[in-house]
Amino acid sequence: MTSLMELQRLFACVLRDAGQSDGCGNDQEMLLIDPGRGDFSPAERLSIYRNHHRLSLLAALQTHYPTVLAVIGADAFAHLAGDYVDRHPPLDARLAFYGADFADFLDDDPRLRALPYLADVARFDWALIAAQIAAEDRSFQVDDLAALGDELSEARFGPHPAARIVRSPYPLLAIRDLALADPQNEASVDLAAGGCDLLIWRQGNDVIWQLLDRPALNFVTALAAGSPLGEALAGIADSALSAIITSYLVSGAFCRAT
Amino acid sequence: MNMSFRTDVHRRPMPASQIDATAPADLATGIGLRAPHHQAILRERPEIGFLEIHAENYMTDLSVRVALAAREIWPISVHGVGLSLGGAEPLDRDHLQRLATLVDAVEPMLVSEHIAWCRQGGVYLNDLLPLPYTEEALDVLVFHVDEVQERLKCQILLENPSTYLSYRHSTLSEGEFLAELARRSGCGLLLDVNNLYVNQRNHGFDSYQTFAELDPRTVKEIHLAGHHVVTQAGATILIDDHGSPVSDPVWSLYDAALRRFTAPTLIEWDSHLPTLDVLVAEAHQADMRRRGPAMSGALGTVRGSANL
Repeated sequence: MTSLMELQRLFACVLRDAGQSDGCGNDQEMLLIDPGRGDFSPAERLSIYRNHHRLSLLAALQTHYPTVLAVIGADAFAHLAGDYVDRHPPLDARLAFYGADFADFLDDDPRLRALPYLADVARFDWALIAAQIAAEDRSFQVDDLAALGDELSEARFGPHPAARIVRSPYPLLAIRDLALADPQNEASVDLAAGGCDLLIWRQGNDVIWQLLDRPALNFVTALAAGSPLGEALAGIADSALSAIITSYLVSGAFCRAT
Repeated sequence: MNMSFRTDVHRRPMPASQIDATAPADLATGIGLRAPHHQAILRERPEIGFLEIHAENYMTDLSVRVALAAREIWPISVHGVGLSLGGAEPLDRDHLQRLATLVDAVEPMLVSEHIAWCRQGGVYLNDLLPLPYTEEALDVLVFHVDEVQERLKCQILLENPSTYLSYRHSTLSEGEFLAELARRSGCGLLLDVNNLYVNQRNHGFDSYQTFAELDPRTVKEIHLAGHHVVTQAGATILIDDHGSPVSDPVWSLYDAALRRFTAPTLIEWDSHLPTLDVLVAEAHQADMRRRGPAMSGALGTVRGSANL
């Protein structure tokens, strides 16, 4: 008789095998599936579970990567996502966390050399999900500025758990706008138009993003890397100081480092 | 395996904060709280007895906030799908810790999980997979239920599954398996009437026999849902997709269940989610049926009647 451990090992192997379990090295007979009335074979019954397994994980990836899906279409997405599911099965029971490294997977896929921007598109998609599922933490607010007084320039900060910087040599916002627009829209994106640097974070329940110009990028990366505030602001023109502080330091994207 | 026989675990009392004037007095019928309904339900405050949340969907700080907002209005039932209690390998302790944190935060009226497994070699298979009804599987479940009840410091309810295959080496009927699980672990049972019907059609299990095999005192909640009928080359199989109204045969089976069991009922709807009012109307339908035969059901329980 097959032990429960062995039965589940074989069942999982059959479930995760896109083929017909040839790679599982065991006889499906060991699963001891009851032929019942004979109306459906054991293989047909198993395929119900196999289909649900693959389709439910595909659906999760479609939800998490809407721009990638829109850029390459449902068929190509299903193909890539299927390969991803094979090689990167979920290790967490929370489906909302599934697919975190899909962008790296796309980076490594030689079939996508003609779409070099796709992995960055995925990074932006994931940053929006990551901002939703990230833990809460008390962000630094405008009222906290006064309390710091003389210590202000020496104060250090870290990114809020929901905050991410995505840097790309491609115009991700234009790609996203076009991909998610009406498919009848005949517009196109000039991939040579230049890249973008984005800060993605959460304000209350809303995920937001902001295109960073060079001074803002320098400030945000310096602050996130642990530089004291005075140092992070060193290269900022006086006329831009108050806008930088309002837009980034006290906008919910940073927490006071402890 | 270290077996224990617990009967001393009790549902934690509902916190006073949940029994306020705005809460409906009758906790009998609830619906699932699903993300697309979050805003509508808090705005419309429909007349329902309680809300069920899928534990795994409320394990982030933002989603817990929604559950806590809903808890101000309704009692919450926490329904887990990811513990893999029937898995031969040890439980995912990180996941159990997350469940404990959620339970501490929302102070639910009920906590439930499934008679199923969903994890192997550390990989989540994202489905409620079928167990053989053997002594070995029963031992594994009892051991894990015991661990969870110890950790959560409350009784949990275990739900009978819907399945698309059964095993030749099962030695217990589904009803015997459920009854023995409750007896040995001290857990309660969540009787999913749609799942019973699906298994009746898919495997020829006898739902009425299952009713008779269960101690009415152990059934603490009832689930109702829609299923999908798939016909292929003249053969039919029922898929438990929670994507349609409760079917007429399931309502009839529910009526029969009410003659033996008295427990709050939940309408589940997960795929092809309708507008909130459709879901609430299903809950009211269950409420009407419960109120109708409920009196005789309650009396039957008191008399210990097993007649169905």
